[in-house]
Amino acid sequence: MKLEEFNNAVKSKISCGYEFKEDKDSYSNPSAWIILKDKRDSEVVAKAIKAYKGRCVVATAYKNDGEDVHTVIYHFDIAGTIINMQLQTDDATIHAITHILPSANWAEREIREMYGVEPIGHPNKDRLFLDYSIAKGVLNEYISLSKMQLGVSDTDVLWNNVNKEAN
Amino acid sequence: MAKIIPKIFRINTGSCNGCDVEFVATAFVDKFHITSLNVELVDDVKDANLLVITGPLTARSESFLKNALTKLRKPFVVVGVGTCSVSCGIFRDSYAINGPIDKFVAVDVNVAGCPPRPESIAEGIAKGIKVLEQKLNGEVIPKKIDTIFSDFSAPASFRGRMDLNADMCTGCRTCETVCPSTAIKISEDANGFIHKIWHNSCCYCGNCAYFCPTGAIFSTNSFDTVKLQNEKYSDVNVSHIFYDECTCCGEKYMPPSRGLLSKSYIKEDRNKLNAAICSKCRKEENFKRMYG
Repeated sequence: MKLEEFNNAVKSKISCGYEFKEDKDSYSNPSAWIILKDKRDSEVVAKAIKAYKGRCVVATAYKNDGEDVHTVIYHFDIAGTIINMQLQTDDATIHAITHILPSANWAEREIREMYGVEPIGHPNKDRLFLDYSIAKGVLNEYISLSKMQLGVSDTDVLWNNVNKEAN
Repeated sequence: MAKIIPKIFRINTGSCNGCDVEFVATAFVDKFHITSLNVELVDDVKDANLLVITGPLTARSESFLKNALTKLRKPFVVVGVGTCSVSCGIFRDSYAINGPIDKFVAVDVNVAGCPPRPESIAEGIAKGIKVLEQKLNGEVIPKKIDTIFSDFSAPASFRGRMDLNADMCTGCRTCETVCPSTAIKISEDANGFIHKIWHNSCCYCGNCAYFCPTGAIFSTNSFDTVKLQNEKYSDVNVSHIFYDECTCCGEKYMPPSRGLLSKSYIKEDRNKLNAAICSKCRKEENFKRMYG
């Protein structure tokens, strides 16, 4: 499949506009980026991927710095070609595509529990792997590795005991 | 008094399974003498009197541990196996970790290591049995127990407890920065630096020794990591790195270490270079020598 061919297939169906970019990785494998203006168009792209017998490899998300906006990126694969679909949400909801592409099931559930972004219409409401005692969206809080290493919370408590007993 | 039969029940509270694999090795390989302890592995926590716990206690496993503890009958002994069970090790401060286990259960013996050698696990269980005997005799605070298996040894290349050669150290804090489990802390007082290695937090990765620019910190092949709970915070390697007084201006300064000088000046006379003079005075001396 050529990337241009896929772009033509979705062009007329995406209602609110999008940006299409072609890319290459370090091994010269072609890939494409579809950056949606409206998150509701995700279902259209998912249907096109299904029509080409593609699958969802994984989806990633992050919270944009300083604002209440999440960026979600779905990574699709059609016969070895990667197509990335990027969308943004300001109300912590996205339209689930699991009913179109079952391969997105775990990825969308993961986004729900790690970032608190609800995939509307997802068939499974249960947690994927985090314990119920851990709040939803735990990765929204940015904890730098250095802060973790150089000490807050438990590390401080334990080292206070060490410093008291070992001199 | 009837001879006590130690009955082991093992709980994994979210361990990476490294400790559990070593535990299996301890159980099945004859040379670790576990059979000489006459222990029995039970499949119901109700029958156990020696609880072996691995893992840093993840949020998911907390309720399972609590549930198991309610079924235990006193007296019982808890042996924490692995650095994670003692201090959460590299997983400390993660959002999914509720440990270490001594927040929820009175631990008696700690076996640090990542994972501990089977020899250490065997020693930990042997010490656990001694503590159990003490508890049956009505002792509240366990007495110090000497090493039980003295015939164990490790190859010279084994990465065991870290040690520091204070003469070589300049307190540059590289080891503290690269340590993934915050086992090293360097503080400063009026006389110099205080370098602490907390063995119960160490994951024995050797990062500190690898990155140390002067070769001051090094791993020994000692795996003597089995300690009673009251030694948990005191099993620390404390070294003092003292300032020198500048013979020129009298200011206190950190002298360059032997290790650093021997790397920087291969052919020069190190004693001459290591004259007790601070870096500020050395610059002035050099300036005078070159331009004065």
